[in-house]
Amino acid sequence: MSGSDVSVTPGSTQTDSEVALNYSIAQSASAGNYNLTFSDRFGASAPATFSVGDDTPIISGITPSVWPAGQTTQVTFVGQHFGTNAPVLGFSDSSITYAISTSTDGQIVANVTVPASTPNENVDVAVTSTGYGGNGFMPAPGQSGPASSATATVTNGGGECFAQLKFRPVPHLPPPLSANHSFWYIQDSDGVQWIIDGGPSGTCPGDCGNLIDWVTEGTVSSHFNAEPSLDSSGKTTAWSIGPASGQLCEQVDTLYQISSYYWPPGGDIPYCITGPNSNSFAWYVGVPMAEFDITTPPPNVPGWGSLQ
Amino acid sequence: MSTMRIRFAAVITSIPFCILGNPVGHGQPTAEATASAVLFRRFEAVAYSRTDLLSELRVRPQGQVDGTNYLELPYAEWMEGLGKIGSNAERDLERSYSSLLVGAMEFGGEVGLGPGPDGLGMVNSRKCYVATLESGREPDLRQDFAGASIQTIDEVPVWVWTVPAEGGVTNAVTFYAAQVGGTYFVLANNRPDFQIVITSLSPAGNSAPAVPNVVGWETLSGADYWLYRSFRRAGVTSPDAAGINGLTPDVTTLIFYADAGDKQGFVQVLSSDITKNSAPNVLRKLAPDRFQPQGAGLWQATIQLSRGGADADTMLELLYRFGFGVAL
Repeated sequence: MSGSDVSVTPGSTQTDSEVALNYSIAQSASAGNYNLTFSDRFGASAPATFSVGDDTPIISGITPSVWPAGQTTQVTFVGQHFGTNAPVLGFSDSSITYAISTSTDGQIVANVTVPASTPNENVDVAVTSTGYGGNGFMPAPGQSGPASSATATVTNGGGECFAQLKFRPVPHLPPPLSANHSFWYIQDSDGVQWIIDGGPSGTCPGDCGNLIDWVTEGTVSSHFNAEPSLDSSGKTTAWSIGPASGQLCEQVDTLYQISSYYWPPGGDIPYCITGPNSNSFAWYVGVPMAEFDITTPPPNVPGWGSLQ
Repeated sequence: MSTMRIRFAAVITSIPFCILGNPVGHGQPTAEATASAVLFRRFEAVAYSRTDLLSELRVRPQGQVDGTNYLELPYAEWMEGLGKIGSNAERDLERSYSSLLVGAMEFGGEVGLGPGPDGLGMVNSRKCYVATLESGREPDLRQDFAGASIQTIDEVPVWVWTVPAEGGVTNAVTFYAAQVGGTYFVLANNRPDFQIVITSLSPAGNSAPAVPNVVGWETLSGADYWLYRSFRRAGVTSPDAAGINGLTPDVTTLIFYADAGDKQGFVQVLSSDITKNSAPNVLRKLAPDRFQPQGAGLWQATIQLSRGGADADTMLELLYRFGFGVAL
């Protein structure tokens, strides 16, 4: 018998034309071909070849199976045939990443990181065996391959959809100047939260005092400080970053961006309006919209107030 | 750098002072001239206002402000610093002292009241304010500064107090203030600048020139309000905060001056490139064709300052260029 991890012992049948053997293959046996040779006083037979293969992994449990978006969760995958070489995890959502802490043939412990922007969704998780003892995976007869999958769930924020206008005072303005700087605080229907710069308002001349106005749709042209005029020709493409159309709230069903002036100078910044089905819009200036990390507190920290 | 200095000197000598306007200097060196000379020697930007003009800007009813209110921006830290030490300190000072100067530098650096992590608020800088007496006796300010501690710096009793960081919107700032030489009141947001200025202004240690050696001083010395900046481009950490974003390197000096009664202000740009056929682009809302040539490399534009007539964006950007920007 070639190889030390495979052994045979005589079985119940031994005739001139047939012999039954009991065989044993160690867990640590390398996958591959093995030769069986019979020998007697007349000499040795030609070798008969048989193969030892690896079983397809089986995932029997994922704990926890619900992963919050925006967090790193330590997840234990229990099953069989994961291999003793470092297995590989795969996710149907490619934005999910992982780092394996420990792994054995029957258990993998990994830190799984789900981006904050990941919506509520089911995620297929695949464990791919890379074999045993330094040898690559070789499927045993009848086995499907090196990988199998199970399902986990990503949750994000509860899914309540809202849009709020919040502000914080601009510090150190000499009286009688005063200003608040406003921000849209939006949570879309997937529970993803966003902050959009809303620009100043208050007792200060120029753009200040005009940037946050609620006006009835259709009176756009009367907004004297519109730069450019917020008419239909001024609308450009739908919001290119942030919440996609269809994810937004009923009250904020679409965001448009319009390049225009802002302060301090430095380039074109989008003005944004809500619509077209909303009965109101706001226009504002500021830095490009940045994703708001759901794991950090919302902006209603001390110094912030809610305009509505 | 040495090349820049030589070219700048050449430009200065080629410009007669009278092109900035009619000389209306005060004749004998005044306290204002001496204080200006001290500040010009140390700081990149210097601003001046008569205190009654600042008071007039401040008493406007809420909601009735216009672009001229941005002329207060260089004095925001003065107001806030004094406001923290007592409710009457600023009022008493501005009633007693006739003019208020401020020198500023290191825009967007570590010193001074400034924006928080969200970037809102005025650009912070090292600042030193000097109020001057036109006449009369030095006021007794002990009651106004009763809440400050007293230190002695160079044998001068100094009021010291700290404006703590609030809500994460600014750094804590320690203010130093003192009356100097019977004529000056000095307030700074850092000790090194304060110490140098009070030493320069004290009768014993006064080494300042009698009048500032800057372009157009004769005109500035007769104006109710002026701003002057001689741009330093070395060591700038943030062109945005420094107010030089988009400014061409040939722009060496920016000047603004106004009289309260005239309802107009004059913006002057000094370029080291005397071959230019048009003014450098300095303000987005003040096109180069608004500037008229006034001599080799010198351009001037007029802007309206009447109530409601001052274009707010122009004024905001003007102050930004002088280092007194504010992010709204």
